[in-house]
Amino acid sequence: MTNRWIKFSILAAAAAGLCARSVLFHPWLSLNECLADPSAHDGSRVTQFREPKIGMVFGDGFLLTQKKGESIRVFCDTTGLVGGEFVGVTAVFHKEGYLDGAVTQVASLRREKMAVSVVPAAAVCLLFLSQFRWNMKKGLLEPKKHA
Amino acid sequence: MPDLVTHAAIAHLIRRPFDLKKKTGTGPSLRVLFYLGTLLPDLLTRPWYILFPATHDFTLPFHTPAGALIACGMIAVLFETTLQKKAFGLLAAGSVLHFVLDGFQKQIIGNNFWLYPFSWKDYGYGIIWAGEIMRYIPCWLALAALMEIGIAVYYRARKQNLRES
Repeated sequence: MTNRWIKFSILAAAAAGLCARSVLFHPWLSLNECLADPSAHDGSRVTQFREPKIGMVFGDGFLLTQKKGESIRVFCDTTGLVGGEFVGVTAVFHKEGYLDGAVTQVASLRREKMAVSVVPAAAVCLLFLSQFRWNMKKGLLEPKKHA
Repeated sequence: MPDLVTHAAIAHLIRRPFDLKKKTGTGPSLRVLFYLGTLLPDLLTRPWYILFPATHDFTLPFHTPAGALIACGMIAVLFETTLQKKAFGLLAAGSVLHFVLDGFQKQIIGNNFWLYPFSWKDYGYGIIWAGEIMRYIPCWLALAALMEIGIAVYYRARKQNLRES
């Protein structure tokens, strides 16, 4: 094992440590955790949702939908809320299965943001590949001859 | 986070003038590493938790300075020894710029955990919502285009001067 791969392994281990700490000790309460044990989380503020979107909008709130997660009714001021949009939310969970006291912010143009972001990501990746190549023999990245 | 067009365009506006030191205004350069660094915190996190929301907590550290610097280090050590320091410097500088720009964005629960793993405090200065930042994309692109034109004119004039002298 070369010095390069020893350094890489140490850094990878440090990254894994950071990820583990985040998974185990993050301070947020997710909706899925609340729904898994409603009584234990009654009255707690939920700050984490899975790609939350506004479903139907009612006079006294809206239906919050999640990607690969359950939907839940949210009671709040509906000013500015638009069905189908992504939304940032924090709200208080109730064991009966609803949220209230919500602070919401419609993430307008989020779809567009994701779509336009693909272009520079692809461009930079292509530029990188045009400048460097992987030398299989040496096991390292090196500039292409013109660089 | 601002969108990646904003990140890339601002990185280009900051980095490109340094190429004026070179003899020619075109041709390959290591600056792609600066651009990669400026996109890296988002590239290592967003696609994963947009496609697989359950991975959010796992990938989040790569959107913190500590995680991003480690990722920069992991990429840098893959380069040949003579380039490692320069590669790390460019990648890290790009990542720092990423976090500076992200700090401008307003968030409901925050996303600027600059002291992670020691603190979960959000250090963003929260000035503008992401959707509003999008509206400035044409400005960044126009500025970048203007700068490219300016650089091309500069090199043409320099070439002409060299021929005449």
